[in-house]
Amino acid sequence: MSTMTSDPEHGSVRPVVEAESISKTFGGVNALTDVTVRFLPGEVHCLAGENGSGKSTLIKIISGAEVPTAGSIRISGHAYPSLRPQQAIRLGVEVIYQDFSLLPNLDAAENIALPLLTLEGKRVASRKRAMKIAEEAIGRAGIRLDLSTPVGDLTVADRQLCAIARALAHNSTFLAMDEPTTALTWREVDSLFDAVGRLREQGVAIAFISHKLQEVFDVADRVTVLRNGRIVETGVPSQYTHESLSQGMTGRKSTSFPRSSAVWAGKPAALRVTGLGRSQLFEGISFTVGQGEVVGLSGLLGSGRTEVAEAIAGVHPADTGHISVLGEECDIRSVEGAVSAGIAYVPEDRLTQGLFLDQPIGDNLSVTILSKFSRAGRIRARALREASRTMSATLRIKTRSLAAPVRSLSGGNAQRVLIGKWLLREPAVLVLNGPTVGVDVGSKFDILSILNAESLRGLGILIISDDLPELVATCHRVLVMRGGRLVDELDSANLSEATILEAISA
Amino acid sequence: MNDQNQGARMGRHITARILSAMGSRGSLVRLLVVSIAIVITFSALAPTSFLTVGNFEFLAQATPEVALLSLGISLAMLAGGIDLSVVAIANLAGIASGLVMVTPIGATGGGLALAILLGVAVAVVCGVINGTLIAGLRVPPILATLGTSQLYGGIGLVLSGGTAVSALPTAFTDFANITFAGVPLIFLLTLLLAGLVAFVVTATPVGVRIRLLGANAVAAEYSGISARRVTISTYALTGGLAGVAGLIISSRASSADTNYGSSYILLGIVVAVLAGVNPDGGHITITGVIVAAIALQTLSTGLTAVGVSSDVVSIAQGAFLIAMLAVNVYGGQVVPLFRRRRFRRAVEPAPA
Amino acid sequence: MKSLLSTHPRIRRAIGNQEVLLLVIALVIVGAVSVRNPGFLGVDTLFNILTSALVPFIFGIGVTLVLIAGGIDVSFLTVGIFAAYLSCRLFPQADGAPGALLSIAVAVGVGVLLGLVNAVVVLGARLSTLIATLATSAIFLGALFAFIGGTVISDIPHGLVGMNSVSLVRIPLANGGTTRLSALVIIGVVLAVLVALFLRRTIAGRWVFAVGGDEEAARRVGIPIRATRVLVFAIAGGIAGLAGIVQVAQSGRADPTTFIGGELNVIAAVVLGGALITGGRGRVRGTLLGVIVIQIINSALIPLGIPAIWQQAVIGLLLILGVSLQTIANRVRPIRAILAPPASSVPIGETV
Repeated sequence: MSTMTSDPEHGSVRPVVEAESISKTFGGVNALTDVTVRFLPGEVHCLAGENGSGKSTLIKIISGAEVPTAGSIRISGHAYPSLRPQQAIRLGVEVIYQDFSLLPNLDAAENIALPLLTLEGKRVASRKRAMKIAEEAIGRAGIRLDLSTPVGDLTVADRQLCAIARALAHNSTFLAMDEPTTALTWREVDSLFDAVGRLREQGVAIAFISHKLQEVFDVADRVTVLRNGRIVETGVPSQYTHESLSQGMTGRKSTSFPRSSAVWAGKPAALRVTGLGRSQLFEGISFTVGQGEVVGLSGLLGSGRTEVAEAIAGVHPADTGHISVLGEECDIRSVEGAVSAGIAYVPEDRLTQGLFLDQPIGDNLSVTILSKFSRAGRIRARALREASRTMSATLRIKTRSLAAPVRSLSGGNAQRVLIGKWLLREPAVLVLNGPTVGVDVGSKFDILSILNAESLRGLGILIISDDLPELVATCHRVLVMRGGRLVDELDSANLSEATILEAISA
Repeated sequence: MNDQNQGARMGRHITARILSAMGSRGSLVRLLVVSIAIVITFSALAPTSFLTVGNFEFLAQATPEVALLSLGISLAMLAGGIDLSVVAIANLAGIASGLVMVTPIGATGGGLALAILLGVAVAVVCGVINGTLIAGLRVPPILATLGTSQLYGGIGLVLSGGTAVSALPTAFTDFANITFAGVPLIFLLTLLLAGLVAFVVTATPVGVRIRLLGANAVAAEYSGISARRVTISTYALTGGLAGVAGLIISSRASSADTNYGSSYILLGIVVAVLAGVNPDGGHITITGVIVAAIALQTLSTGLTAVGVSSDVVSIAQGAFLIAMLAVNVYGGQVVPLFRRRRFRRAVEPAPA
Repeated sequence: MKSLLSTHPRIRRAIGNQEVLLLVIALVIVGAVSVRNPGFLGVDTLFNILTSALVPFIFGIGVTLVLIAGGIDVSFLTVGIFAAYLSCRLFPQADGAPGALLSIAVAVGVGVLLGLVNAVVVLGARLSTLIATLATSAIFLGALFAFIGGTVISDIPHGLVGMNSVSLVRIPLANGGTTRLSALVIIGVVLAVLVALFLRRTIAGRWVFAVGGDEEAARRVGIPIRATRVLVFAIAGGIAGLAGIVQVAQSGRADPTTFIGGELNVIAAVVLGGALITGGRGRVRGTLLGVIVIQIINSALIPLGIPAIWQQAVIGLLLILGVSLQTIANRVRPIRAILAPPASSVPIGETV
């Protein structure tokens, strides 16, 4: 795949925004490494990549929400080593953030109008004026929105529409959209794309981020693929197929792991879920994970896969249905309950949900076994340290001392700490949400090997992931979710990246 | 050549050791320097009034209540919260046990013990209420304890009828004056309690959980730590410490009142921050709290010995707090920089 | 309750809106007292309540501003008395209407300066406004006593005395006496209108809400966070200075110890009025209601046969209830619906 930096059509056009050799590190993890991208006027430029590939970080650096570790942003020819958001807005940069970045206590009209009125240097807040700006913006986006409800009370879809309208209220020269369609219906997506089309005609440079491959093909003039914070390739959509694009995003990998052939036949399932449901989120979820079995649970972002995992883990318990572990029915009302039933959960967001970043690696590992290693209310410190050290050695966590804070570890090593803390607990079933997101390729292989080894020893494993090669390489079976329901199950006979992709995005 | 290399490595090793000591115990080092500076300054300025046995005896008498209240506040901070109600709890405990003491029962030895136990129990209950509001109803700690400090203070006012509970039995009021080899018993008691808290924080599961909850409440939840139980334990412990402080205050003052120690909230926060307790949670140093409490008492007795009014003491405490906050914010940026580089190197040699 | 709260945003908002609750409480209390003591319901009671509510209300407006911006200021009382006392010291001879204006202007100016000191400390130390203002308030009070004076000024500038003695309304009472409402009340009314206009009708006022609602989001959309913070502290300082001088005018003396320990009472009133301690919400109207309800409780306790000593406990309890209600109402957030209706019953592409 050739890198196309100067195709004839755009060779002479001056970019609106350029990211030049941008690097960014968070707590020892490289989120972006030497990334250079040019956004041309009148062009929709898709940034494609997995979770944690660095797309959102790049957008935040361009908009001034984050400061790059190295490199600079060039806007209309001027280079800036870093930007403040106010400055970026003044320079015509507008962003629809993935988290919307709305002000929950103000109503939609004000959310849309206040940034513009601020930019224009207005002093008086006129309600009429705000309404006018907001109405024009939603008109431009072709959407309907209750403008006088506080944004905190809006549904997610309406909040997303509000974020879109706010971005369209400005006469920007560069518009970045980070996953702008996750909560929208197809009709709303259509009107968004119409608006995008009009902006493109007006010569606005557009950066578009989406997980949905079909959307990429629908709107993109150019595609840049990011993987582990680096640019892998740049090209035009016609160069790609769904398969080749997803391959570019995930990295080619043909490794497969040995799977235990008879999944501990005759023994009770490690995890059995029957008719699990939670109001408005998911329903009728039934499946089993045998002892020694690795089961994948896949689906698009917002398909309900994380919600199911969190219900099993007791974070947000289910309203209906049954869960049993090793044949014993358990009523899971809390994480503690799930843990004592033998369920361990490695959450999606390692940095905020999984780890105590500034605390010692040792304490991060041993948090799950404090009671087990106590006698008469006192921690048996030496035994605890020994257990942590053994686990650290088994998982080959690269650190000089277990007293060092987790923050000092790389992404892959930090993830090993997270997995290690649950393996120390010796659970019956391990649920992992995106186990290798934001982990470099070498560590990824190691982590999958660790999981594979544990499964061969009888641990039931449920992997929630949309990393297709990873699922194909490790799983006995893959369950597929869509719209809060289980819609498909792929077993060894028909398990391939293509079949999963088809099932999740059907 | 080889020797030189080894020498350089040794040097680097020692530097790293020192930096690591500064990083983990940097606040303690800073604190000791400040404390010694305070003692030297006042010894030089007012040798006749500061460097006296009487002054140091007074110091040892006055420190316990401050140290215990500061320990309580520090524990709440360790869990990522704050407790503004410690002084109200202390006074309520003092009043509750004082009211039992002034009855005929209180005159007996058993009655006195009962009264003291009751005081501490009341304080623990107050702490449990704080913890329940914070963890159960998820009221922000500042607000919850702001409200309960009004409530506990108000209850104290009602119980005491608006006047100090006085005429406490001499057996109780003499307690503050008992000394062993010149050291007040209440000071030894404070050290004992501090040791107990240190044990809880470092060597028991609940102590480690308090620290982890304070460090990252979300990760704590995902790790199966019960925020409710841990938070309630924390504030109960804080309440208990405040209760003991309240008993010490009323023993020293020979009476119990709702107005005592109103400046101790600020002082307690100053002590905690000066000690290096992270107000955002996740880090505590018991030694630091005790040293900081002694240092601030020394500062105020020293200033008094020099002949400065108590108002300047208040200025000095406030200025101290701001200075220490600034050092924690800006100084903190320097030390971790070194630390991070050091750990990065530790990870480097083994490429993936 | 939970499902009711989660399904009806309007109901949630109504419960979260404490103004309605406060009105009901006020009416119930007034009704109860009037039944027992018909004389209570009269113009003089009303005037008494308005007069005693004036100073807490003015302070409360400043506190409301800081709360909306997402901070907590506990230095306002020391700022207030510092500014007022200094004003009296600097211009003891200020007489007549111009003199009164001078006294007020100086107090407000000093308040603004002290507010700016707060802003510098808060922004500089990048730490909790609570801790920072605890520290500055110790410094301000200490500086007041140490450098300006700690004695009561009983001979305050004549301009202020004159201002207090001007009656806005004077009504003869049934018992032959008269009751009056001082013209000072106008200051409270004008300030309330100005601040309400600032908050609702100026872009800077909207920034205050934006910063308190979600600081990071506000930063991302280009709202000047630091400038807003500085502005808020400066205005709050000025308002505190104004409250201080009004208190001096009302009481006819400048006493540096007037307010010591009263911070929580004002914050309690503001929080009762519905200002969110986590920022982003608050109204001048709510604060007015909060202050008035507390004054009604104060003046109703004795007619109701409840000893005045219960006042603090009752207010503490009310504060805890109000805050808990607020927390519960705000906890339930709408969840993001994922579940699609069964495929057969809806047209393709229609998702919830």
